[in-house]
Amino acid sequence: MRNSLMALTLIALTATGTAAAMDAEEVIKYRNSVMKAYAGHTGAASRIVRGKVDYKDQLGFHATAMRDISLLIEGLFPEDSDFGETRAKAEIWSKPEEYKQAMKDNQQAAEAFLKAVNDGTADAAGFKAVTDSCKGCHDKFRAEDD
Amino acid sequence: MLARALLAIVLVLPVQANAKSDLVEQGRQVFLASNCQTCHTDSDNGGLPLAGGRELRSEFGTYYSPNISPDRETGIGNWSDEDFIRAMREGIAPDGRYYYPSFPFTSYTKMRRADMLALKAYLFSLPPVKNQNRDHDLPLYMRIVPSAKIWNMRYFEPGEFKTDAGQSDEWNRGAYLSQAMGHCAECHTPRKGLGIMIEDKRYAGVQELDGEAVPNITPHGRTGIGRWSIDDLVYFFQSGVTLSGDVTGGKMAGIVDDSLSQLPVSDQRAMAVYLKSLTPVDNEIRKKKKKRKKEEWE
Ligand code: HEC
Ligand code: HEC
Ligand code: HEC
Repeated sequence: MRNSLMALTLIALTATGTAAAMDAEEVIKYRNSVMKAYAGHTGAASRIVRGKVDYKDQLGFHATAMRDISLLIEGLFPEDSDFGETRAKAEIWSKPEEYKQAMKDNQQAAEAFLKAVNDGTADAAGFKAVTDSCKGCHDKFRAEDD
Repeated sequence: MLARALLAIVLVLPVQANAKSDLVEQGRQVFLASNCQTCHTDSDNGGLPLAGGRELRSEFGTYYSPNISPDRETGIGNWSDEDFIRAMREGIAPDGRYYYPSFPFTSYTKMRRADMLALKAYLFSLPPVKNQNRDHDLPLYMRIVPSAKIWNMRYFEPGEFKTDAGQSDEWNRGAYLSQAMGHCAECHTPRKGLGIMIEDKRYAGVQELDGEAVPNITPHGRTGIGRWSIDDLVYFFQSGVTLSGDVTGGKMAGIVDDSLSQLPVSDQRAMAVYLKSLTPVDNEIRKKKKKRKKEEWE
């Protein structure tokens, strides 16, 4: 009993401990892993949309994941996470309104595409709207140089 | 993005009004495939199409692209056909000045005369914009010697693209588009001192070009585009989506948006066919992430 209570307290402590002082390097690694997952679903979905493979029944899975990830992005760029091994540009923090817009464009496109998949009306143009919104954000906010 | 969209509108409208002219339409195709507008428009600062003034940084200094709109005072409105052809083919200005190869005449030299003339007709169909050219910001050693002239005479061989009779029409079209117009090698080929391309590494990628990694686009299985199909390449030219599902940004996004995605599918395919036919070169390029330390004052 006492042991499990202690364990719980410990978990609670470490959990809040990490939340308060999330290491910037770890945030950067985490966000790039999320981005890679985003790319994984995008790449897979693109092959279905382009008719390269016949896994239409799985398109909904990828479209849902993409919509969900588009909603995660907002939390992946806390202040101070521009130091370390990152291609995130300083403009993310110096032009927050523009960055919000880029995230919003992406969320809307991903949401619309998911809806189209669910309605059975998904097409290449709707998918391109999603990848165009990735391109738009990368073009402005992912560094080519520092 | 918005600037690009605006630019697209401005660039497309005058042609529609002029649709009768086949020459102008042919020139518009050349213009799109050659991606003249990205360098010659200061889109970051709201510059007008082709009015120049875009800052182009390089290891040899900072260049400011000139105004190539048909304005008679500040652009190229007074140029004759021969003036234009000399600039594109030989890298020499009407007044005899030699251009720096920051202007990729080194690739455009391969363009056919008829395409150059069509391109000029298209440029001259666009609205003139008044915008004074700005001097390049180059290190002293490049200013005191006629460095552009020396470079041109020593390292540059002008000459039109030659059709390879041993290859298909599609291949030749793709080679012409990639070499003479899209100037893909200018970024994708590593260089040695003074900017000379390393020939046996043509298209094999550059670890760092102005701070950016440029991938190997020879069909090498592990380090290049060997695993991409022709359709995958066509899809990339249309969307910027790579084989891994990443979406391109940086310099290549401009080329996809302003140039490759605007071409007819037959041209996109031809370029893919050409790239897939190159000799594979084993050259691994890693995308690097810059490590930045927090400064005292931050
Ligand atoms: C609102 C902006 C934004 C949107 C939208 C966005 N990204 Fe990103 N992405 C970034 C930034 C910024 C980075 C660089 C992060 C870093 O290095 O810390 C990045 C990095 C990446 C990476 C590199 C990961 C790594 O390990 O280096 C991939 C792959 C990627 N994004 C894929 C995508 C895909 C696919 C989409 C759309 C389906 C997308 N991104 C949408 C901003 C965005
Ligand atoms: C990679 C960037 C880049 C691209 C792409 C580019 N240019 Fe240029 N261009 C330049 C720069 C920089 C100069 C100035 C060179 C110098 O002053 O030595 C220049 C010079 C010129 C000039 C000479 C202007 C003058 O006033 O003397 C003309 C004409 C020209 N470019 C036309 C074009 C056309 C047409 C295209 C497309 C087929 C094109 N350029 C594509 C960068 C570019
Ligand atoms: C101004 C420089 C520049 C020019 C010109 C250029 N590229 Fe690129 N290219 C790049 C850069 C930089 C990347 C990597 C972009 C990124 O990391 O998102 C790239 C990426 C690519 C890729 C994706 C490869 C991969 O493994 O992800 C292909 C394919 C490609 N370019 C083909 C071309 C072709 C074809 C042309 C000629 C029409 C061309 N490029 C002209 C700079 C250039």
